Amino acid sequence: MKCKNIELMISLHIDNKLSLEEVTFLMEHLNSCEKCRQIYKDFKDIKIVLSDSQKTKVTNDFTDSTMKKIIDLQNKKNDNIIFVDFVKKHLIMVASFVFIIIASIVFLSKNSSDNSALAEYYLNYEQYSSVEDIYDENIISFLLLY
Amino acid sequence: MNDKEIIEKILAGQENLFRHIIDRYKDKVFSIIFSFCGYTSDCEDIVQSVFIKIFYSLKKFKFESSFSTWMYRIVINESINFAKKRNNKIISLQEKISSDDDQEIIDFIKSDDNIEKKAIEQETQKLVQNTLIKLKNNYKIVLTLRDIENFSYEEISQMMNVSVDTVKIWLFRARKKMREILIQGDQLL
Repeated sequence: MKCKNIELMISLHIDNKLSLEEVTFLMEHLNSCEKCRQIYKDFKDIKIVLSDSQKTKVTNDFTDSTMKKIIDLQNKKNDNIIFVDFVKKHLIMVASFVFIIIASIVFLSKNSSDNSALAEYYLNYEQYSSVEDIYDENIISFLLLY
Repeated sequence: MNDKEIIEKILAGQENLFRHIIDRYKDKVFSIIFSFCGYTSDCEDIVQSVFIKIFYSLKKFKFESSFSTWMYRIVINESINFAKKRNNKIISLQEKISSDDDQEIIDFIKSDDNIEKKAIEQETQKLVQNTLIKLKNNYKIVLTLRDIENFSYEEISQMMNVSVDTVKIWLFRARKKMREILIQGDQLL
């Protein structure tokens, strides 16, 4: 068997995944192949170092701070849910309210345009009336002459 | 209380019980994410955001697999996403830092004959971490799950959603690659 295939067997062996026959075969090869023996030693060293390396841990208050964040997020979510529920429950009332507001806006804007038209009319009327006055005065003075 | 019971109660409204899940898995989750982010200050923040994601994903848990397998899938996916997002920034930075650190470690070991065991362990931990971070994502995960967290091949295959044979091959390649990196850095005795 080629050394390349033996390397895979070495990896499986350090995880105890080989049968007894395979282990015997591997050991025979390792006895006769220095290169594979070195790989076996290195793979074992890597595994030992990695398995011993579990020293890094989270800080002591990790659970509390994570739970606090979750609860804060939940509260925000609940606030949103309460608002949406309120809207759902009072849908008719909310719709009526929205309708009244929209209707009021439309009415007021229409009214204000009517008012401006009226104002324009009055302004013009005043002008017209003053012209009429002048016209009337002219007629009177003309009549007086004769 | 087992995981299933806790999850059922959380879903029924006892959300505070999620702290038991955090306590139970925080170090293992941290270990996996740590293999991606290394000694960066925001590593714990990432672990925290992963736990928050797990909490909000609980409704999707169908109790078809074990909770831990389901949870580790999320952790692995989040770790890979994290690596993709910050690959250019963090990994290259880590590589730079690690190469400096590696030399520091060698100098440190050579310079003093009376090295305290604890100090060596800490430095070895750094060396391992800095080597691990240079591996491909899949290799990183299988090595962390197998050699650091001691999961079985079957568990790893479920978590990573691949066959057991794939796990065997990935583990072999991961160890081979790790050996190559350590040999290049002259750090295997």
